[in-house]
Amino acid sequence: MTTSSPTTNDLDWLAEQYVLGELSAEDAARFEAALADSPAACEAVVAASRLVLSLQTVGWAVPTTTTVTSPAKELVGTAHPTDRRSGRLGRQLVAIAAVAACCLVLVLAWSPVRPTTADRQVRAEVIQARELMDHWRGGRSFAGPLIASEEDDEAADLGDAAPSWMLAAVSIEKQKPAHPTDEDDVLEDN
Amino acid sequence: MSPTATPGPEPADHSFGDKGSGDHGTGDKGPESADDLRGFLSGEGRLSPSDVQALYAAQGHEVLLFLMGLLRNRELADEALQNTFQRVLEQGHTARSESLKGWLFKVSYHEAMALKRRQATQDRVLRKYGDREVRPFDSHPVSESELRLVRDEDLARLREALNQLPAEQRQVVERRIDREQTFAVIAQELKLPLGTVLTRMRLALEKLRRQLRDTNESP
Repeated sequence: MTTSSPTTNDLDWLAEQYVLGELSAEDAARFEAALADSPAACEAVVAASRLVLSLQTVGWAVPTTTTVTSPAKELVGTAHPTDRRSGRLGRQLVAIAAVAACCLVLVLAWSPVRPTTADRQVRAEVIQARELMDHWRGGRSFAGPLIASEEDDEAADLGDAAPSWMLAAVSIEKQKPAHPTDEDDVLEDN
Repeated sequence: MSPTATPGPEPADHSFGDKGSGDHGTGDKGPESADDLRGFLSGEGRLSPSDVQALYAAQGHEVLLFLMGLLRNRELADEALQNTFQRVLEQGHTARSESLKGWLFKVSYHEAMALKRRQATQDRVLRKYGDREVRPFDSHPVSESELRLVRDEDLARLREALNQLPAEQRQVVERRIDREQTFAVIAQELKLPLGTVLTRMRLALEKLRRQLRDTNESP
Protein backbone atom coordinates (compact mmCIF):
# COMPACT_ATOMS: atom_id res chain seq x y z
CA MET A 1 0.00 0.00 0.00
CA THR A 2 1.44 3.34 -0.93
CA THR A 3 0.44 6.93 -0.42
CA SER A 4 2.48 8.35 -3.28
CA SER A 5 0.32 10.16 -5.85
CA PRO A 6 -2.81 8.09 -5.38
CA THR A 7 -5.89 8.70 -7.47
CA THR A 8 -8.95 10.21 -5.83
CA ASN A 9 -10.57 6.82 -5.39
CA ASP A 10 -7.40 5.38 -3.95
CA LEU A 11 -7.13 8.28 -1.56
CA ASP A 12 -10.74 7.85 -0.47
CA TRP A 13 -10.27 4.14 0.07
CA LEU A 14 -7.05 4.76 1.96
CA ALA A 15 -8.79 7.29 4.17
CA GLU A 16 -11.66 4.91 4.82
CA GLN A 17 -9.29 2.15 5.80
CA TYR A 18 -7.46 4.60 8.05
CA VAL A 19 -10.67 5.74 9.75
CA LEU A 20 -11.79 2.14 10.17
CA GLY A 21 -8.43 1.32 11.75
CA GLU A 22 -7.62 -1.28 9.12
CA LEU A 23 -4.24 0.08 8.06
CA SER A 24 -1.09 -1.41 9.49
CA ALA A 25 0.84 0.76 11.93
CA GLU A 26 3.39 1.57 9.26
CA ASP A 27 0.80 2.53 6.64
CA ALA A 28 -1.20 4.52 9.17
CA ALA A 29 1.88 6.50 10.17
CA ARG A 30 2.70 7.16 6.52
CA PHE A 31 -0.84 8.31 5.85
CA GLU A 32 -0.81 10.58 8.90
CA ALA A 33 2.43 12.11 7.71
CA ALA A 34 0.80 12.81 4.35
CA LEU A 35 -2.11 14.51 6.11
CA ALA A 36 0.15 17.25 7.39
CA ASP A 37 0.72 18.65 3.89
CA SER A 38 -2.18 17.38 1.82
CA PRO A 39 -5.53 19.14 2.05
CA ALA A 40 -6.91 16.55 -0.34
CA ALA A 41 -6.02 13.79 2.11
CA CYS A 42 -7.65 15.80 4.89
CA GLU A 43 -10.80 16.15 2.80
CA ALA A 44 -10.75 12.41 2.20
CA VAL A 45 -10.56 11.82 5.95
CA VAL A 46 -13.52 14.15 6.48
CA ALA A 47 -15.55 12.25 3.88
CA ALA A 48 -14.53 8.89 5.30
CA SER A 49 -15.33 9.97 8.83
CA ARG A 50 -18.74 11.26 7.76
CA LEU A 51 -19.46 8.02 5.95
CA VAL A 52 -18.33 5.73 8.76
CA LEU A 53 -20.17 7.72 11.44
CA SER A 54 -23.30 7.70 9.33
CA LEU A 55 -23.03 3.97 8.82
CA GLN A 56 -22.55 3.47 12.55
CA THR A 57 -25.67 5.45 13.35
CA VAL A 58 -27.83 4.42 10.41
CA GLY A 59 -29.59 1.83 12.57
CA TRP A 60 -29.22 -1.45 10.80
CA ALA A 61 -32.50 -3.22 10.27
CA VAL A 62 -33.26 -5.85 12.89
CA PRO A 63 -33.31 -8.84 10.52
CA THR A 64 -29.86 -8.04 9.19
CA THR A 65 -28.21 -7.32 12.52
CA THR A 66 -29.43 -10.31 14.50
CA THR A 67 -26.91 -13.04 15.10
CA VAL A 68 -28.32 -15.71 12.87
CA THR A 69 -27.80 -19.38 13.57
CA SER A 70 -30.70 -21.29 12.12
CA PRO A 71 -31.16 -21.65 8.36
CA ALA A 72 -34.41 -19.71 8.49
CA LYS A 73 -32.72 -16.82 10.26
CA GLU A 74 -29.83 -16.89 7.83
CA LEU A 75 -32.30 -16.52 5.03
CA VAL A 76 -33.69 -13.46 6.72
CA GLY A 77 -30.26 -12.07 7.41
CA THR A 78 -28.84 -12.31 3.92
CA ALA A 79 -31.88 -11.50 1.88
CA HIS A 80 -31.97 -8.39 -0.22
CA PRO A 81 -34.95 -6.40 0.95
CA THR A 82 -36.80 -6.01 -2.31
CA ASP A 83 -40.44 -6.95 -2.57
CA ARG A 84 -39.86 -9.84 -4.94
CA ARG A 85 -37.20 -11.41 -2.80
CA SER A 86 -39.01 -10.81 0.44
CA GLY A 87 -42.06 -12.54 -1.07
CA ARG A 88 -39.96 -15.58 -1.97
CA LEU A 89 -38.38 -15.46 1.43
CA GLY A 90 -41.78 -15.41 3.07
CA ARG A 91 -42.85 -18.49 1.16
CA GLN A 92 -39.67 -20.29 2.15
CA LEU A 93 -40.22 -19.42 5.78
CA VAL A 94 -43.80 -20.62 5.66
CA ALA A 95 -42.67 -23.91 4.10
CA ILE A 96 -40.00 -24.42 6.76
CA ALA A 97 -42.47 -23.64 9.53
CA ALA A 98 -45.04 -26.05 8.04
CA VAL A 99 -42.52 -28.90 7.84
CA ALA A 100 -41.42 -28.26 11.41
CA ALA A 101 -45.03 -28.28 12.61
CA CYS A 102 -45.76 -31.55 10.79
CA CYS A 103 -42.72 -33.19 12.36
CA LEU A 104 -43.82 -32.02 15.78
CA VAL A 105 -47.35 -33.34 15.29
CA LEU A 106 -46.04 -36.71 14.12
CA VAL A 107 -43.75 -37.04 17.09
CA LEU A 108 -46.50 -36.13 19.52
CA ALA A 109 -49.02 -38.44 17.86
CA TRP A 110 -46.64 -41.39 17.64
CA SER A 111 -45.31 -41.42 21.16
CA PRO A 112 -48.48 -42.50 23.16
CA VAL A 113 -49.47 -45.23 20.62
CA ARG A 114 -46.42 -47.34 21.29
CA PRO A 115 -46.60 -48.76 24.83
CA THR A 116 -43.35 -49.34 26.56
CA THR A 117 -42.24 -52.67 28.07
CA ALA A 118 -43.23 -51.46 31.52
CA ASP A 119 -46.72 -50.60 30.27
CA ARG A 120 -47.17 -54.11 28.88
CA GLN A 121 -46.02 -55.70 32.14
CA VAL A 122 -48.40 -53.59 34.18
CA ARG A 123 -51.31 -54.52 31.91
CA ALA A 124 -50.51 -58.26 32.19
CA GLU A 125 -50.38 -58.03 35.95
CA VAL A 126 -53.73 -56.25 36.04
CA ILE A 127 -55.34 -58.93 33.86
CA GLN A 128 -53.88 -61.66 36.08
CA ALA A 129 -55.15 -59.93 39.21
CA ARG A 130 -58.65 -59.68 37.73
CA GLU A 131 -58.65 -63.41 36.90
CA LEU A 132 -57.56 -64.21 40.43
CA MET A 133 -60.35 -62.08 41.88
CA ASP A 134 -62.90 -63.82 39.64
CA HIS A 135 -61.73 -67.21 40.82
CA TRP A 136 -61.93 -66.22 44.45
CA ARG A 137 -65.41 -64.89 44.03
CA GLY A 138 -66.54 -68.11 42.31
CA GLY A 139 -64.90 -70.33 44.97
CA ARG A 140 -62.82 -72.13 42.41
CA SER A 141 -59.18 -72.96 42.71
CA PHE A 142 -56.78 -70.99 40.66
CA ALA A 143 -54.76 -73.13 38.28
CA GLY A 144 -52.18 -70.58 37.37
CA PRO A 145 -49.26 -69.42 39.45
CA LEU A 146 -50.21 -66.80 42.01
CA ILE A 147 -46.88 -65.08 41.94
CA ALA A 148 -44.23 -65.77 39.44
CA SER A 149 -41.18 -66.83 41.43
CA GLU A 150 -37.59 -66.61 40.34
CA GLU A 151 -37.44 -70.42 40.14
CA ASP A 152 -40.28 -70.40 37.63
CA ASP A 153 -38.42 -67.88 35.63
CA GLU A 154 -35.32 -70.07 35.76
CA ALA A 155 -37.34 -73.10 34.72
CA ALA A 156 -38.80 -71.12 31.86
CA ASP A 157 -35.31 -70.11 30.86
CA LEU A 158 -34.11 -73.71 31.12
CA GLY A 159 -37.06 -74.84 29.02
CA ASP A 160 -35.72 -72.70 26.29
CA ALA A 161 -32.07 -73.59 26.69
CA ALA A 162 -31.80 -77.09 28.27
CA PRO A 163 -32.65 -80.34 26.49
CA SER A 164 -35.83 -82.22 27.43
CA TRP A 165 -34.10 -85.26 29.01
CA MET A 166 -32.39 -82.99 31.51
CA LEU A 167 -35.66 -81.39 32.48
CA ALA A 168 -37.24 -84.83 32.87
CA ALA A 169 -34.52 -85.86 35.29
CA VAL A 170 -34.99 -82.76 37.31
CA SER A 171 -38.75 -83.30 37.51
CA ILE A 172 -38.30 -86.93 38.72
CA GLU A 173 -35.91 -85.84 41.38
CA LYS A 174 -38.34 -83.22 42.54
CA GLN A 175 -41.16 -85.78 42.90
CA LYS A 176 -38.98 -88.04 45.03
CA PRO A 177 -40.02 -87.73 48.73
CA ALA A 178 -37.52 -86.86 51.43
CA HIS A 179 -38.02 -90.14 53.38
CA PRO A 180 -38.20 -93.48 51.59
CA THR A 181 -41.51 -95.29 51.86
CA ASP A 182 -42.13 -99.03 52.26
CA GLU A 183 -42.59 -99.46 48.59
CA ASP A 184 -39.14 -98.06 48.06
CA ASP A 185 -37.70 -100.55 50.51
CA VAL A 186 -39.37 -103.40 48.67
CA LEU A 187 -38.03 -102.26 45.41
CA GLU A 188 -34.54 -101.94 46.89
CA ASP A 189 -34.77 -105.43 48.33
CA ASN A 190 -35.77 -106.79 44.94
CA MET B 1 -4.93 43.88 18.25
CA SER B 2 -1.48 42.66 17.57
CA PRO B 3 0.79 45.33 16.19
CA THR B 4 3.20 42.73 14.86
CA ALA B 5 0.68 41.19 12.51
CA THR B 6 1.59 41.56 8.86
CA PRO B 7 -1.49 40.54 7.01
CA GLY B 8 -1.49 40.32 3.27
CA PRO B 9 -4.13 39.95 0.65
CA GLU B 10 -5.87 36.64 0.41
CA PRO B 11 -5.04 34.73 -2.80
CA ALA B 12 -7.83 34.83 -5.31
CA ASP B 13 -7.99 31.05 -5.79
CA HIS B 14 -8.98 30.37 -2.21
CA SER B 15 -12.25 28.63 -1.88
CA PHE B 16 -13.89 26.82 0.97
CA GLY B 17 -17.39 25.52 1.00
CA ASP B 18 -19.83 26.84 3.49
CA LYS B 19 -21.14 23.55 4.79
CA GLY B 20 -21.65 24.55 8.38
CA SER B 21 -24.94 24.18 10.08
CA GLY B 22 -25.36 27.92 10.25
CA ASP B 23 -26.84 27.81 13.71
CA HIS B 24 -23.78 29.36 15.31
CA GLY B 25 -22.42 32.78 14.66
CA THR B 26 -25.25 33.95 12.52
CA GLY B 27 -25.72 36.98 14.64
CA ASP B 28 -25.23 40.52 13.56
CA LYS B 29 -21.52 40.72 14.30
CA GLY B 30 -19.73 37.88 12.56
CA PRO B 31 -19.38 37.02 8.90
CA GLU B 32 -21.82 34.51 7.50
CA SER B 33 -20.06 33.24 4.40
CA ALA B 34 -16.65 32.11 3.28
CA ASP B 35 -16.18 35.33 1.33
CA ASP B 36 -16.81 37.33 4.47
CA LEU B 37 -14.25 35.22 6.30
CA ARG B 38 -11.73 35.79 3.57
CA GLY B 39 -12.32 39.47 3.96
CA PHE B 40 -11.74 39.22 7.68
CA LEU B 41 -8.43 37.52 7.18
CA SER B 42 -7.24 40.21 4.87
CA GLY B 43 -7.66 42.73 7.65
CA GLU B 44 -5.11 43.67 10.26
CA GLY B 45 -4.74 42.33 13.78
CA ARG B 46 -6.14 39.32 15.57
CA LEU B 47 -9.48 37.85 14.80
CA SER B 48 -12.21 38.94 17.13
CA PRO B 49 -14.20 36.34 19.07
CA SER B 50 -17.17 36.90 16.79
CA ASP B 51 -14.97 36.20 13.76
CA VAL B 52 -13.80 32.97 15.33
CA GLN B 53 -17.37 32.08 16.14
CA ALA B 54 -18.33 32.61 12.53
CA LEU B 55 -15.40 30.55 11.41
CA TYR B 56 -16.52 27.82 13.75
CA ALA B 57 -20.01 27.92 12.27
CA ALA B 58 -18.62 27.64 8.77
CA GLN B 59 -15.88 25.07 9.27
CA GLY B 60 -16.29 23.58 12.73
CA HIS B 61 -18.36 20.64 11.58
CA GLU B 62 -15.83 19.53 8.99
CA VAL B 63 -12.88 20.06 11.30
CA LEU B 64 -14.64 17.97 13.93
CA LEU B 65 -15.23 15.20 11.41
CA PHE B 66 -11.57 15.38 10.45
CA LEU B 67 -10.57 15.11 14.11
CA MET B 68 -12.94 12.22 14.65
CA GLY B 69 -11.28 10.42 11.78
CA LEU B 70 -7.89 11.03 13.30
CA LEU B 71 -8.67 10.36 16.94
CA ARG B 72 -11.69 8.03 16.77
CA ASN B 73 -12.84 9.36 20.08
CA ARG B 74 -15.43 12.07 20.53
CA GLU B 75 -14.06 13.47 23.76
CA LEU B 76 -10.55 13.80 22.37
CA ALA B 77 -11.91 15.24 19.14
CA ASP B 78 -13.86 17.87 21.07
CA GLU B 79 -10.76 18.75 23.03
CA ALA B 80 -8.69 19.03 19.87
CA LEU B 81 -11.39 21.17 18.27
CA GLN B 82 -11.37 23.51 21.23
CA ASN B 83 -7.59 23.77 21.10
CA THR B 84 -7.74 24.38 17.37
CA PHE B 85 -10.06 27.34 17.68
CA GLN B 86 -8.04 28.64 20.58
CA ARG B 87 -5.14 28.72 18.13
CA VAL B 88 -7.38 30.43 15.60
CA LEU B 89 -8.12 33.08 18.16
CA GLU B 90 -4.43 33.56 18.85
CA GLN B 91 -2.91 33.14 15.40
CA GLY B 92 -5.75 33.08 12.90
CA HIS B 93 -4.75 36.47 11.54
CA THR B 94 -1.49 34.99 10.31
CA ALA B 95 -3.21 32.57 7.99
CA ARG B 96 -2.72 34.49 4.80
CA SER B 97 -0.41 32.48 2.60
CA GLU B 98 -2.61 29.44 2.30
CA SER B 99 -6.26 28.70 2.27
CA LEU B 100 -8.00 29.13 5.56
CA LYS B 101 -9.45 25.66 5.40
CA GLY B 102 -6.06 24.13 4.75
CA TRP B 103 -4.66 26.14 7.61
CA LEU B 104 -7.44 24.94 9.88
CA PHE B 105 -6.79 21.34 8.88
CA LYS B 106 -3.11 21.78 9.56
CA VAL B 107 -3.67 23.29 12.98
CA SER B 108 -6.22 20.67 13.94
CA TYR B 109 -3.93 17.94 12.66
CA HIS B 110 -1.12 19.09 14.93
CA GLU B 111 -3.49 19.41 17.86
CA ALA B 112 -4.78 15.90 17.24
CA MET B 113 -1.30 14.44 16.99
CA ALA B 114 -0.31 16.17 20.23
CA LEU B 115 -3.36 14.73 21.97
CA LYS B 116 -2.67 11.34 20.51
CA ARG B 117 0.87 11.35 21.83
CA ARG B 118 -0.29 12.52 25.23
CA GLN B 119 -2.98 9.85 25.34
CA ALA B 120 -0.50 7.17 24.33
CA THR B 121 1.86 8.25 27.09
CA GLN B 122 -0.93 8.23 29.66
CA ASP B 123 -2.05 4.79 28.58
CA ARG B 124 1.48 3.49 28.75
CA VAL B 125 1.95 4.81 32.28
CA LEU B 126 -1.39 3.45 33.41
CA ARG B 127 -0.63 0.06 31.94
CA LYS B 128 2.75 0.05 33.61
CA TYR B 129 1.40 0.76 37.05
CA GLY B 130 -1.89 -1.02 36.51
CA ASP B 131 -3.95 1.60 38.29
CA ARG B 132 -6.95 0.91 36.18
CA GLU B 133 -7.94 -0.86 33.05
CA VAL B 134 -7.01 1.24 30.07
CA ARG B 135 -9.76 1.72 27.60
CA PRO B 136 -8.71 0.79 24.09
CA PHE B 137 -8.00 3.86 22.04
CA ASP B 138 -10.30 2.87 19.23
CA SER B 139 -13.32 2.17 21.40
CA HIS B 140 -15.85 4.92 21.02
CA PRO B 141 -19.43 3.86 21.53
CA VAL B 142 -21.84 5.93 19.55
CA SER B 143 -23.24 8.53 21.88
CA GLU B 144 -25.88 11.18 21.57
CA SER B 145 -23.23 13.80 20.95
CA GLU B 146 -21.87 11.78 18.06
CA LEU B 147 -25.30 11.56 16.57
CA ARG B 148 -25.27 15.27 16.08
CA LEU B 149 -22.35 14.91 13.70
CA VAL B 150 -24.57 13.00 11.33
CA ARG B 151 -27.31 14.76 9.46
CA ASP B 152 -30.75 13.24 9.09
CA GLU B 153 -30.76 13.67 5.33
CA ASP B 154 -27.43 11.83 5.18
CA LEU B 155 -28.95 8.93 7.06
CA ALA B 156 -31.98 8.80 4.82
CA ARG B 157 -29.87 8.75 1.67
CA LEU B 158 -27.58 6.20 3.21
CA ARG B 159 -30.43 3.85 4.06
CA GLU B 160 -31.66 4.12 0.53
CA ALA B 161 -28.20 3.45 -0.85
CA LEU B 162 -27.71 0.48 1.47
CA ASN B 163 -30.91 -1.08 0.22
CA GLN B 164 -29.66 -0.76 -3.34
CA LEU B 165 -26.37 -2.48 -2.64
CA PRO B 166 -25.89 -6.07 -3.81
CA ALA B 167 -26.46 -8.48 -0.95
CA GLU B 168 -22.86 -9.65 -0.81
CA GLN B 169 -21.55 -6.09 -0.55
CA ARG B 170 -24.11 -5.11 2.04
CA GLN B 171 -23.22 -8.19 4.06
CA VAL B 172 -19.55 -7.17 4.22
CA VAL B 173 -20.41 -3.58 5.17
CA GLU B 174 -22.77 -4.74 7.88
CA ARG B 175 -20.28 -7.15 9.37
CA ARG B 176 -17.49 -4.56 9.36
CA ILE B 177 -19.47 -1.58 10.63
CA ASP B 178 -22.24 -3.04 12.74
CA ARG B 179 -20.64 -6.19 14.10
CA GLU B 180 -17.18 -4.57 14.11
CA GLN B 181 -15.53 -7.61 12.61
CA THR B 182 -12.18 -7.15 10.97
CA PHE B 183 -11.80 -7.91 7.28
CA ALA B 184 -9.73 -10.96 8.16
CA VAL B 185 -12.50 -12.37 10.36
CA ILE B 186 -15.12 -11.62 7.72
CA ALA B 187 -13.06 -13.42 5.09
CA GLN B 188 -12.62 -16.38 7.41
CA GLU B 189 -16.30 -16.65 8.31
CA LEU B 190 -17.53 -16.21 4.76
CA LYS B 191 -14.82 -18.54 3.45
CA LEU B 192 -13.70 -15.93 0.95
CA PRO B 193 -10.26 -14.60 0.02
CA LEU B 194 -9.35 -11.43 1.90
CA GLY B 195 -8.99 -9.59 -1.40
CA THR B 196 -12.59 -10.39 -2.34
CA VAL B 197 -13.86 -9.04 0.95
CA LEU B 198 -11.80 -5.86 0.56
CA THR B 199 -13.04 -5.38 -2.99
CA ARG B 200 -16.65 -5.77 -1.93
CA MET B 201 -16.17 -3.27 0.88
CA ARG B 202 -14.44 -0.82 -1.39
CA LEU B 203 -17.13 -1.01 -4.05
CA ALA B 204 -19.86 -0.63 -1.46
CA LEU B 205 -18.20 2.38 0.17
CA GLU B 206 -17.70 4.02 -3.20
CA LYS B 207 -21.42 3.83 -3.90
CA LEU B 208 -22.35 5.00 -0.42
CA ARG B 209 -19.84 7.85 -0.54
CA ARG B 210 -21.25 8.98 -3.87
CA GLN B 211 -24.71 9.10 -2.36
CA LEU B 212 -23.51 11.16 0.58
CA ARG B 213 -21.62 13.55 -1.70
CA ASP B 214 -24.74 14.03 -3.77
CA THR B 215 -26.61 14.84 -0.59
CA ASN B 216 -24.05 17.37 0.55
CA GLU B 217 -23.68 19.01 -2.84
CA SER B 218 -27.38 19.34 -3.46
CA PRO B 219 -28.79 22.70 -2.31
